[in-house]
Amino acid sequence: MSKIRELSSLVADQIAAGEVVERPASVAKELVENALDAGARRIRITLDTLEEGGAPPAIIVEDDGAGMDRTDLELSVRRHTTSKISAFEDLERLSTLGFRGEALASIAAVSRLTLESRDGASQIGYRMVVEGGVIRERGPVSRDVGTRVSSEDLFVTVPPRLKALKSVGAEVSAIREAVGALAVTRPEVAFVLVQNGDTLFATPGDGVLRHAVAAVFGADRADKALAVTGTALGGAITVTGLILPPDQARGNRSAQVVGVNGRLVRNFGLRLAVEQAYGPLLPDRRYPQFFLAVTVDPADLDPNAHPTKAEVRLAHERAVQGVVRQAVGEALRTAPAFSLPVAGGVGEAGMRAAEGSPLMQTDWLLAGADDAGARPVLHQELAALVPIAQWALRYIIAQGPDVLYIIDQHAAQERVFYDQLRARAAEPVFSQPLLEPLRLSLTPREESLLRQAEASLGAAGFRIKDGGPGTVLIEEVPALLADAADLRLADQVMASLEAGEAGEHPVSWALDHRLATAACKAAVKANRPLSHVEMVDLIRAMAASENPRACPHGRPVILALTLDGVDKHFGRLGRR
Amino acid sequence: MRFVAEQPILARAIQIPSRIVSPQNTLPALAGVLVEARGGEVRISATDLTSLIETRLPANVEAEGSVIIPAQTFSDLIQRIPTADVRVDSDDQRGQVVVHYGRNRATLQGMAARDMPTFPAQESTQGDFTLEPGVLPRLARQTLFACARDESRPILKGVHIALGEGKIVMVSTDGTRLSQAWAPVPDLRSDPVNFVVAAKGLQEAARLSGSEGVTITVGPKQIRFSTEAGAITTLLLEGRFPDYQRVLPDGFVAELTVDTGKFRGAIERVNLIIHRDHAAAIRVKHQPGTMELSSEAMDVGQAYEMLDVMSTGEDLELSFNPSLLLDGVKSMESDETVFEFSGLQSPARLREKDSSHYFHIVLPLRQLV
Repeated sequence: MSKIRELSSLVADQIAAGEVVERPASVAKELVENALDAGARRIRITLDTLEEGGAPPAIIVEDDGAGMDRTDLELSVRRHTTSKISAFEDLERLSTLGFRGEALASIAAVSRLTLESRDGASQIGYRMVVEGGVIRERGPVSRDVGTRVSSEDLFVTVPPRLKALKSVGAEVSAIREAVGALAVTRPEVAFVLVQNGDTLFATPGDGVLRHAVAAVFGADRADKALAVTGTALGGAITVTGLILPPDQARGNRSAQVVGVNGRLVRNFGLRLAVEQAYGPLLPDRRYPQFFLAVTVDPADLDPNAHPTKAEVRLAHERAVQGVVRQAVGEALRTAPAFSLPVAGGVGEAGMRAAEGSPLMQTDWLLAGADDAGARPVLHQELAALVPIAQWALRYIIAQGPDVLYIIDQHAAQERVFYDQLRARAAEPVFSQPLLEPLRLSLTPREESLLRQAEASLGAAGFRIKDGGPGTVLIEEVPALLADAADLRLADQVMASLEAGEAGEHPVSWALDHRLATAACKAAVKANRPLSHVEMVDLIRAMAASENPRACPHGRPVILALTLDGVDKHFGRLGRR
Repeated sequence: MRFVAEQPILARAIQIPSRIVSPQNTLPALAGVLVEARGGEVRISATDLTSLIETRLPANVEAEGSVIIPAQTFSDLIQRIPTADVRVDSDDQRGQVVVHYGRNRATLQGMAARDMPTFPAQESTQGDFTLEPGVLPRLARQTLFACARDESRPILKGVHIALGEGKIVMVSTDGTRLSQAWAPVPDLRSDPVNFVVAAKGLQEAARLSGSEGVTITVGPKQIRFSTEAGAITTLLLEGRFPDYQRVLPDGFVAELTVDTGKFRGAIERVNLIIHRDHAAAIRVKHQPGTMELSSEAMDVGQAYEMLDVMSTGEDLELSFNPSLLLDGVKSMESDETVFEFSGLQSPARLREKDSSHYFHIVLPLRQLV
């Protein structure tokens, strides 16, 4: 007897459902994406978790989208039926979120699905109930244009899955997270998430990201968020969105939302690009919160990389990462470093309190010439600081109106020197011709990148000549890089071109590390007593520095203790 | 193994091979020296798998044998021993070594000799020849400084050697400068043979030779330098050395003869102003009878020096990387140096006035507009 049997369509669907429908949150996500693809302007998600015993919540998704007529509705629960594409080529210019035609069939295979829908051409709606993939009931229903899908008894037919589910609370919060992320990627759609009659969140659907973030993640976060914008490749890639300042970082990555062309994606490279832009502003294992919308040419986006479509393949990924990194970095740089009011001097009490401690040097032999000099102040809050003491011969304790700062003297001066060196390096004067040109083999893409950047590379001191098909010769390098004139340098050149970094600071990418080392060597080390004058001067220099919060090696420079934080520590909050 | 040796001789003999022992090794045996006692002689050797250095010393061998001893500790210990004689006694199987001096002793944990990786034996030779005392150190001094330091083009980390037609010619380049030094070797009558020796191996060979003559044996994959004090065998580098003849200038538009010591002093002073600024250049301006050197650095200052020179040819003004120019001038061994220019953007040459045994090529910098 033959041992090999063809699986019934139900079993096949249940197996496939395992991929698409992992937990209730995936059901919610698939149903909401269908609603979005239907062009909905309002989506209401209702969770019913009244049942005891940890059964998964019933999920009801209602939208005001295009709706379906009777035929479409019946087809919709069959596998590989979709209105979104008809030929494989359509995938290349996909604008809808779904396309596989699997979601509804999968959900139908593992739950009891009730669908109601009416399209604009019909006078009446149509309703059907699907259980285990089989249509049990059907009939007309009176309703508005749009669709309502309700999924109950999820996984009742798949006991292992049922057992693997977490508590109702955990599943609801996963749904909240999934739907919230979708709501933030589509601020133009009004989302309402309701659990047992309580509204968990409701976005206004006015197209303003900040409002959507306020609704989903709280008004506090929306208020603190910094706006991000950036473009590359002549507008072919754009990035917009909101990021939260580094002090709002969390211990996990839950508030990180990236949408590419309106599609919520999980793309490690893009997350990493954002985190790199924060760089040393974040302590170890703290993750930034951000809500970014990236647009690329639809042809450059391949969503068909993963059954749940969460992972996407992106052409020019490095370029996209480059824009993201730049845009986020720019937003962080231009943001006020610390939100505190300016001015205020150090009180007598503060000075006295510091005296007498063996580790504090408060005995100033030279009281400072109080002259701010001609340096431009980029960080007002630092310019107003008053040094109180040097602690342990390596930290400057300085006081602002509502913040106490501990400043690493070495890291601070290192940063100041680094900025000076960098400014100088940005204006190259000489190039070093090479006796033997560096021969570089390039892919056609690399070659065209190099051609585009020829002018900026030339200005930086590179002379590049055609060396035959797929080959270029580097005949001169910037004099600063002459002793590093090797093929690794060429690799760095190519990498920075791909990431879109070369245009701005033609040599800085190759020099950063070296300048950082030079700055580190020149800066005062720990165990060097500083006079009051020196500390005042250093703080002024920091205020004039581009990014005084991190040393070029990535270590933080400043530790800030806010008065609020200290009050909180001592249990004084609310009594002021 | 057991032998008695005179402390100063043993101390000197250990130092030479210890130099190539790297402090960090994956193979524990490479942190040691192999000590072998046979007949009336002790042989001490060490390898970094690229080179093998060995020295021999006379000793009173009481029991023949061989053992690996940790190089650093052994060398440091022997250097500090105050007695005239040292007795080394080892359990060759267990690798335990006891060093006796007077009433005192130290015990070192070594390894059995079989743990030492073998260095490939020297293959058939292409001929032996001898360099006079001082020649190898000079050739090394004038070429090693111009070798590349980075790993991306490993062949440039070596010195190219051409043997034949009565001479040995060494060339090194790091892509921005080039040194060529040669010496007559009347014994070498054959057609030229070319190969590249790693800079480190050549450096050790030059050190080993000291003020002695050195005998060189070339095999297809190795070169061996032997002196009275010991010998070093090093693998030849594989790869194609750039065709350096192409970059040598054909003719010169100006030629300046200058006192080497004054030239060097002037460059050193002018460099002081710019030594912190890696992007700065030293300007060299030629007018009949004078050479002006100047430099300028933001926030530091300016420097200006004028030197009297014997000169012919065009007036011109060039910029150089300050450390490259200084390295070049430092490598001159004659009292007078000839500085020759072949154009604004073409290689300049430094050579010794009274000898044709050496020249150095350095490329001027190009000023960006």
